[in-house]
Amino acid sequence: MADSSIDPATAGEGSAGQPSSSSGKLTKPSHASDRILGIICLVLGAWYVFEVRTFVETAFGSGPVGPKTLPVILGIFFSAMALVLIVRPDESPTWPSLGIWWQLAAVVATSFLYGQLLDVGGFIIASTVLSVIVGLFFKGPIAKLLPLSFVFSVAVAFIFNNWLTLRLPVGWWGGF
Amino acid sequence: MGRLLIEDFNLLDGFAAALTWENLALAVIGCLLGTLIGVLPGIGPITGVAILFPITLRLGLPDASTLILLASVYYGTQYGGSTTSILLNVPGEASSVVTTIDGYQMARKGRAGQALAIAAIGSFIAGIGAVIGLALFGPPLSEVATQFQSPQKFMVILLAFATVSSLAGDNLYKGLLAVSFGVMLSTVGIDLQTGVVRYSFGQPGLHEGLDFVVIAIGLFAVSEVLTLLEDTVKGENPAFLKAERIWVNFKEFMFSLGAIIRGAVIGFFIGLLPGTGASVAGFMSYGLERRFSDRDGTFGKGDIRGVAAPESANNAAAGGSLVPLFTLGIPGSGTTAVLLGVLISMGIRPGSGNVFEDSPELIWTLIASMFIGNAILLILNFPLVKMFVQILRIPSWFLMPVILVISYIGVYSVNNSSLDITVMTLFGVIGYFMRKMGVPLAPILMGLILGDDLEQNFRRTLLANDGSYAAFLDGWLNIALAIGVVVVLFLPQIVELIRGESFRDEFADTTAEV
Repeated sequence: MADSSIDPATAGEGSAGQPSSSSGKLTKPSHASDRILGIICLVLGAWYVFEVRTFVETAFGSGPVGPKTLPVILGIFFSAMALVLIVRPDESPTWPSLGIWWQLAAVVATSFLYGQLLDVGGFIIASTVLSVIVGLFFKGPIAKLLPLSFVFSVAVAFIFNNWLTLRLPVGWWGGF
Repeated sequence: MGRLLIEDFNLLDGFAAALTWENLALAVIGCLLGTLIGVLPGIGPITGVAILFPITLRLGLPDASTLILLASVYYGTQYGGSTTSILLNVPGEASSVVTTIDGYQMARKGRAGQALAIAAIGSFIAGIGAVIGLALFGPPLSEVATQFQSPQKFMVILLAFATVSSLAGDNLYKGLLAVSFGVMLSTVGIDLQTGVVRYSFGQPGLHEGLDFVVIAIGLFAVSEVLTLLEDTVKGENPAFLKAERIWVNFKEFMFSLGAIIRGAVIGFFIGLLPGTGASVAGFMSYGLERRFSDRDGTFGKGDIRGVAAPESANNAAAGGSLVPLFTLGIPGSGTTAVLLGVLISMGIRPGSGNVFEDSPELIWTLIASMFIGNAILLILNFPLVKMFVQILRIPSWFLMPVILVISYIGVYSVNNSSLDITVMTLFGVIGYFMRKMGVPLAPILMGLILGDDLEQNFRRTLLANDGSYAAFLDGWLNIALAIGVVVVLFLPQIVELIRGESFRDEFADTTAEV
């Protein structure tokens, strides 16, 4: 899937690993975050420029400027901005503690899973599961979350499929 | 106005079209939804319009009706955003950040009702003024804009990029990084001129490029949910203030009228500049109003004019930013960038044609509906503010999943593809990190939506001039635009030189959304 898409995926992971490097709170102000972002962007920019070599030119004449010209200029500009970030970084923000990181990661994972679950189990199941998991992280009581999430998902599916003519995949729950 | 009504029956026709039952109902629904979105933390105008667009597209409404609904949502969010600024000290969206200063102080002194009322009245007056400005300036400016050739169009887009990068955050280089990242995203997919596939990783799903709705919802809604989750776990909860009676007396109104008018004028003209939107207008007008009328040092301690000025300005700017959108095809803010995406997908390309001549029904119906929308909002706001505020009592453990599920529906309905949900989540993660690190998000969206236009005009210019880059600086207009780009990029330094104090401080908090 899009996991292979665009390097920013690594932008996420790269910086995610970073609190360990900058977790020495209350010490000197760190500038590591911007430097790491700068390095990631530099790599991304360089990749973006060199990727033009893989473009397969077609029979259409491209004249003095083809599909490669702007990407090359753009990639160089982007890399230059990344360099500025490395040379003149801002102070790092306060990153969340490890306990919060895994909750954030879990919500992101659930969100990625939602797409898969939508194809397999349909909208109602996917949405109920997601609502319960995310709701729990927002400190919701499970006794209320379970029924509320289910009723909400069914109601939304009903409204969209019957009144708004937007066909959400209802999976093996069948159509309403 | 006379000219419009006598020679040109279009605005009247527009009113006739906007006043059908269906369109009126859509305007009311849009205003209600918009106010709701404005009040809720986590979804702002950008997300609101981005989520609702693919959904309304499926309803099979006429284009004008879809635009009326979305424009009403946009206006509604401007109203709704001020409510939470005043009662909670939490801006519902970026353009109301500055309202928290005096608005919340007024609320603490038991004058929340007056603050809310003057915000609504100021927004109404400024909104109506801005729409009149749009109706007056739009057609002639559109005429001028159609004279622009590729080199000028390229330079105008650069100017917009420069403005948004320089004003959206407090680090210019991060703004430029963001805007160029957005343009890079726009190159994903098949190049329409040559059929060459670019940056698609062999994924056929990416051949058509990245959809702006998917990116916008990911960057803004998903990342906001993640940010709010972080705050919830940390246990940060704002205190709630109450409004007893929402009203101002005549004396207070007259006291604020000057601030309203000044705010409206400043806001409208800031909105006119390509690349600057409502939040910049709010900050600018607050700063100027304080300079102009703060004789007793009451600003910052609950001065009603400190609410009236920015609230009028951000509404006027919302209207004003539609002028460059409709004439040049240059959005002034993240939300208008989304509106541009909407127009393009309807086959309307402002900037390459004169929309006032090519699609007069659509444009004039929309403009007429904005007059109506402003009136609806004023009428709705007084009785309904208390009800809207109750929505904030919904616990976040229910609200956040609801926002996410609605985001998924919006994204899914673009292509019926679960790949889009993966892409959205990915951009949610990127958005979260960028927010934390002070990289503004709105420039990414602007880059993505205008990137294709930038490249087409870039290539056309070079093709027509045998690859000579000097063509971009050929003629006085191009040189003026280039100077504009430089001035905008170094604006803070220039202002600091003139005023001798930091300009960035006043813009410190605008990073979230523009």
